[in-house]
Amino acid sequence: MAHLTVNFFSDTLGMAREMEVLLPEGVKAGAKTLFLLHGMSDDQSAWMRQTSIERYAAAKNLAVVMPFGGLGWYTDMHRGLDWFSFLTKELPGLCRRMFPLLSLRREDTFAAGLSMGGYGALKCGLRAGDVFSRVAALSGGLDAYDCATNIGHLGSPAYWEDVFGPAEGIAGSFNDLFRAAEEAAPRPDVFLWCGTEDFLYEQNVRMRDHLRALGYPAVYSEGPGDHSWVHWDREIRRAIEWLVPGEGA
Amino acid sequence: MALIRLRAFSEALGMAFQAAVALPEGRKGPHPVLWLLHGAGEDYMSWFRNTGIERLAVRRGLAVVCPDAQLSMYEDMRHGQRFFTHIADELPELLGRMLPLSGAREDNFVAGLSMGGTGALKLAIRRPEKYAAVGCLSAGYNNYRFHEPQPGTMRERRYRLVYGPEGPDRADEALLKEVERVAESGAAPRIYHACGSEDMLLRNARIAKELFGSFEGNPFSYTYRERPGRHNWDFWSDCVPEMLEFLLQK
Repeated sequence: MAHLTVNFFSDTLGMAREMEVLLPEGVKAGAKTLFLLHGMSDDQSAWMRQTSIERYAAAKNLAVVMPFGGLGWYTDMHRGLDWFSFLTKELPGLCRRMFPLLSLRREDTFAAGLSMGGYGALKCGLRAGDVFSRVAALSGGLDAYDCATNIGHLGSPAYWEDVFGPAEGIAGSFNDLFRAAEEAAPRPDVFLWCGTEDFLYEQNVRMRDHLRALGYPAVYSEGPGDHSWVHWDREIRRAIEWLVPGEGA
Repeated sequence: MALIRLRAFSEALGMAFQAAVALPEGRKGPHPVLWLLHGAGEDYMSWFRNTGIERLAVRRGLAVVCPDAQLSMYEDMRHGQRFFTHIADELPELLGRMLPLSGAREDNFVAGLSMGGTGALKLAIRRPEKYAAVGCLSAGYNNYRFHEPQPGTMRERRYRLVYGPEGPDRADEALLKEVERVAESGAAPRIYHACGSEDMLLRNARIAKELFGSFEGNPFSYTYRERPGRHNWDFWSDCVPEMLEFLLQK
């Protein structure tokens, strides 16, 4: 793998940002690409530093793009920046221009993430299904309303209002992934994993049931564990095996 | 402009390497490329940290690649690693696959300062089919002749590691023959050459000037500039706009 640290300017965000990119060396063109999203309080370097993502991706000739998402929940914020537009509208084109070996095709374009990034990844699949075909959420904060109202330790009410707008408006909105699952077209393939001791476990069970009721081909698994990297390092490897089965490209 | 710091494995070096690449953003490639070489004691980030090269290049739609050559004199070292092969042959192939860089000769330029200026001349003379033009700052085609290293110094050790016990003279002779061959080939790269009049390598630069400027009809479109300046980033930074102008002229 080639590991690239990229400083670039985002027109959508109106500021310069950094991202980490892994490019397979064994591929001439059409590389499958995973957009891999960090969680709250982390940055674009977290996946490289906390897991063996490079080794897992190399085994599959999978390109990986790790952008910065701030504390923006990969959402076009009520008061803040347009992180979702950046991620789904600007970044894929920017990466494909910059790295011509990346595939342009939906079926080769994936998203995954943990916690806030799990929300972002599932949202990529449900609200930008023309770009992403398969998405994986690990320990995802999948219920925006529940995160904003009931899980107090993640941020103040003012913070959550900046992200998603007034709490009472979240249900049924663009940012509500339960609604998004009902409206998605085309539908993505979904991979969910959550630890049974995770404070987000309940949300993941509900999303699993919701997706199954809607007839999604959702792969769900859980296991003993809390909200920590030891599980994400293991589960991202399983998610990549699911994204790119067998020997890889 | 996007600035990329890239790490990957080099077969030529037998180890991981780093390089920095500035890419024009918002344009579709493939982009013309300036291969920009650092001096002894510097690394792949030195040009970006000490000059406005990123800003000046993007204005012209030019990508800039800065490889890392350690203290190799841009040679395949006698005792060490194959940096010439890495930079002249391996990197263009590897990066050309990953990034929107043009492989066309008319879109490829090589330049450098001090050890990198000598390196740039060497790359262009040994691979004239690859580069349309070359820029050499504060150097000649060798950098030791009037600047003999004292025995036991770091500089002496550097030359021995690169060239072996007999020193650089033989490599020099081979290069001079190549210069004549390229000059007569009808497809010589254009050369921009500049040195500060207070530079410790001025005599080396002037020797190179006599060589490249001596050919009938000036096949290298050889252009030499000497103006007040020393062996430092003030001089090199000041040279950049004129050098880019020369390299990119049609």
